[in-house]
Amino acid sequence: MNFEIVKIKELSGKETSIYSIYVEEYGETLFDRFIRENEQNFPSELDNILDRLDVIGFETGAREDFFKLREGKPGDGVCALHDRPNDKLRLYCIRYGMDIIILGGGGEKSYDTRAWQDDEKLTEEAELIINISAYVTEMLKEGDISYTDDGKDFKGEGLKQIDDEE
Amino acid sequence: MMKNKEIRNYTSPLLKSLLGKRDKSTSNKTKNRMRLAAKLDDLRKNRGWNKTQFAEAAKQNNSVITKWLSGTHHFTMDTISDLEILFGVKIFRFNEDEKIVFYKTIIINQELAEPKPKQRTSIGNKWNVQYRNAISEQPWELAKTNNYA
Repeated sequence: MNFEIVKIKELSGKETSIYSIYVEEYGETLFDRFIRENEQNFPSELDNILDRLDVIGFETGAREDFFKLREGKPGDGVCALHDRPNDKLRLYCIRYGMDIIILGGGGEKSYDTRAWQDDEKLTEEAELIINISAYVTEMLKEGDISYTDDGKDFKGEGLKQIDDEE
Repeated sequence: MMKNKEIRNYTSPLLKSLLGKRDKSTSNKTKNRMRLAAKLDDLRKNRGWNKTQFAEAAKQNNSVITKWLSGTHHFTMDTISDLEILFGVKIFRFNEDEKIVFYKTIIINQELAEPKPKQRTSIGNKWNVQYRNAISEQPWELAKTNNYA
């Protein structure tokens, strides 16, 4: 899968840089796809998510408590944005301290779904973001992705992933 | 290899459109809940408390503290008052020095014409001609009740 880590201009502010994954095959980011998939059925939940990201980016930073942690593998930073008590829309992301988050996709989490493994769509989205987290970790280790001097952004050739096979 | 390649800024028309359509009132409520949660988190850290110590000091369960700090909780004024005492700071700030000014909005629907200068003669006065015409068009009964007769 060819993809690129991109910075969402509308949501990134002085506190947190908010990224998503532009997937060449989809022609859009995972977060845009998440919006399109849910704007009809969950408009209020979606607005709430946008408000929360807006505050995170421009005012408060990505505080740990705003996220439901440990949604992925130990230490991989995969989490879900906390939602209002009766909301049913789950958005997966990867958190790098207060400064950077990468938004993935998500979907409806019905009342009888206890974990993402119980739902096909959530499993697909969670596994995708877990794989992206593993990729970023690998790139950080190899030095193909690094932090900018202020720690607010990523830089490096590894931001873009192109499959070798032609 | 270009190790310093900068991240690409991505503009999303879809996102931009949704951000513009948000309801201001709902948006403000969500944002204030998060601001309050962030403030409590800062106060907690300032005291050097972990979340369990915060829970103990506030006489609450850990799960309540998690909810408070998640930025989704709807605080009551009473809880805020208790937290003000706990941290010894004003969380909900009233600025006593600030004067309250009441504004009244007046909507003007019709622009009034400037009063015309009084005519010295009634003959040839345009207004009077119009007025006379209006009187002459009144039905007799109405004109009578209006003392036009």
